[in-house]
Amino acid sequence: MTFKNSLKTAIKGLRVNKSRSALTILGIVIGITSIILIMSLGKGAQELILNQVRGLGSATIIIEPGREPQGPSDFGSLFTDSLKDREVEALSKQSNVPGVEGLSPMVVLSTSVTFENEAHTFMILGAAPLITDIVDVYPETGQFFTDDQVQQLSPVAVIGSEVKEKLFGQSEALNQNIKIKGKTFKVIGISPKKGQVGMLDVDNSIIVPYTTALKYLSGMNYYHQILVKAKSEQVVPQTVEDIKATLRELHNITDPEKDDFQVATQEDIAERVGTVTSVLTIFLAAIAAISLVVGGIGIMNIMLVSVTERTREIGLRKALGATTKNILTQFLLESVILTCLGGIVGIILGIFFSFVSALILSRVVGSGWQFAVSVKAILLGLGVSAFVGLVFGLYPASQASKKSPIEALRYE
Amino acid sequence: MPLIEIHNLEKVYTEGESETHALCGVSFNIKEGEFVAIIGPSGSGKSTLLHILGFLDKQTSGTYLFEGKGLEDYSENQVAKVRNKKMGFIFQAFNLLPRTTVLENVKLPLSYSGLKESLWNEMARKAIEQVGLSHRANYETSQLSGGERQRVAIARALVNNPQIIFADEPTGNLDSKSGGGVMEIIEKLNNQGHTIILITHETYTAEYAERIIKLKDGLLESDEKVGERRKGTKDGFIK
Repeated sequence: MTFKNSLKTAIKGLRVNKSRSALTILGIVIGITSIILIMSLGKGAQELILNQVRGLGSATIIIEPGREPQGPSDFGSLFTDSLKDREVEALSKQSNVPGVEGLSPMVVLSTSVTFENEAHTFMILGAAPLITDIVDVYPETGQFFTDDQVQQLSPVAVIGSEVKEKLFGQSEALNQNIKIKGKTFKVIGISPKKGQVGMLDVDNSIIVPYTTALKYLSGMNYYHQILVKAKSEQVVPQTVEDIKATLRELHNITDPEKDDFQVATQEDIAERVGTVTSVLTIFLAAIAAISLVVGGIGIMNIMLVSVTERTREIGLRKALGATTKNILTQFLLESVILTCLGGIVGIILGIFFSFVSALILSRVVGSGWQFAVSVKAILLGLGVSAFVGLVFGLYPASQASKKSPIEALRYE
Repeated sequence: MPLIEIHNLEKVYTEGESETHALCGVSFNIKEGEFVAIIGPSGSGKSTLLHILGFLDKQTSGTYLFEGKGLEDYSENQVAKVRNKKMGFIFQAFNLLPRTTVLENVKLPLSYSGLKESLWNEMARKAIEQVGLSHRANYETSQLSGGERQRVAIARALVNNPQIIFADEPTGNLDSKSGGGVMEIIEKLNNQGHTIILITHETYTAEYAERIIKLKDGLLESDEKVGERRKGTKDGFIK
């Protein structure tokens, strides 16, 4: 019997019992739909975050205090005060780090901000004017603060669009005084609506000079982060080394394992994000795969019942000249066709649900969400379906092929 | 050379401790073109004999040669081929594929024959014509009467142009009129040159044959030519 004919016979066998076939593949459909949906959502989330990371610019370097904990008892390393004014000064020197164009030490806190009777909690960012080069927060009304104002610890603030809405509503915000943690700040600029930029919720943030923030708002003497802008993308690797060398010298560190800081480029962060989202996606997909195993067991069960029901048919076919291999092929093909059919339905449903999710998420998250279904996911879905069909169909098919014609023909 | 040669055929079934002697040493030959009926009460061993003759089962001892070759001379796949090409089977319970058309049923042996698919429809239609069911070729078998279904089974048995046709109680599930129709067709096939082996427990059916072999308790009781053969159903088919 040719393969094409075996295929026809198998399809005929499935058609004869349409409703049973449809119910049998339900498990596979659900499994494949889930896998496609999870992979699509995973890819979308990865793209979303990576876009934000890319928003930082390729010449950006981020220095953070503390290092990766080396073990369970090493938690002290996470919370250190290793970045202070002394470090900022050292890193600003061209003689130490020639590739640096500018620095923005960062102070980050969240606190209550009031204007007249309105009080809300916002993110306060202490930064240098350089930050507008790294993250596009330049005000559309008013202006950003200057290096002089940083020097003078001026109590001035640039507010985001949501901050303006919540504190001032329709009335004028420029040159008004707001109170941050009890201290009065003058609003000198309002940023345009931006959404999420490089992990910063610009619209709900207030940016003040880092010096002012450090002294009056943070209550501490160290920085949470130092953003560095390198002169060009090319000098970034060397600059990273120079920064590390400078800080090590300053802190008397000879063993790189004992660094009390971390230096990351935008590329490093993108890589990290990529890895984390990939691992998460694979993990979730693996869980979805469990339903495939359940589906496969269901298929095996139904095929076994089908084989028993068709014992007479098997005996007849053998009496008429079918070989053991013919029977094995017939039933195995039935199983594979069933699962592949389930896979195709699952893929179509998966794409549909991914599309719907993308529509919903676009509204929630903003334009950052992309609808993406990779060809890889579709091929994986098909491959996995066929594999499940083969594995779980093998036992029933082999049972069928082993039936002796006389036993089968005598079977009531 | 006779088509079928049987010598001292024995078949013993063992189930645990108990042994059943279905055949206890049967010998006979059958020539090409003969119409032989094998008759006997239930338990006489005729079904067992049929299975061995059809290469569906292996004897415990003794020889059975079909066209000079025994079951042991073929590989498993070759046996299937022999059954497919040289033997036709008609069963008491018809054994047609459910929810399938007459044409598809008759084509079934062809799908295992290795012949080109383009030939199948033509060959099937010829066989269906021979049993007088051309007008029903595209009907599903569930829509046919018992007699018509058995005729489909006969067409299926014919389609590969086999050397021999085995009929196991072909009229067992049919009323007298349909049964008569079926035996007429079988008779016609024999007249065309097909060798027929008919298994039955009904003497009247057996008398369509030219030779009757009687079995009892696994042994050959008699092997005689029929004196007055039943022809057609002018006497009425009495069961």
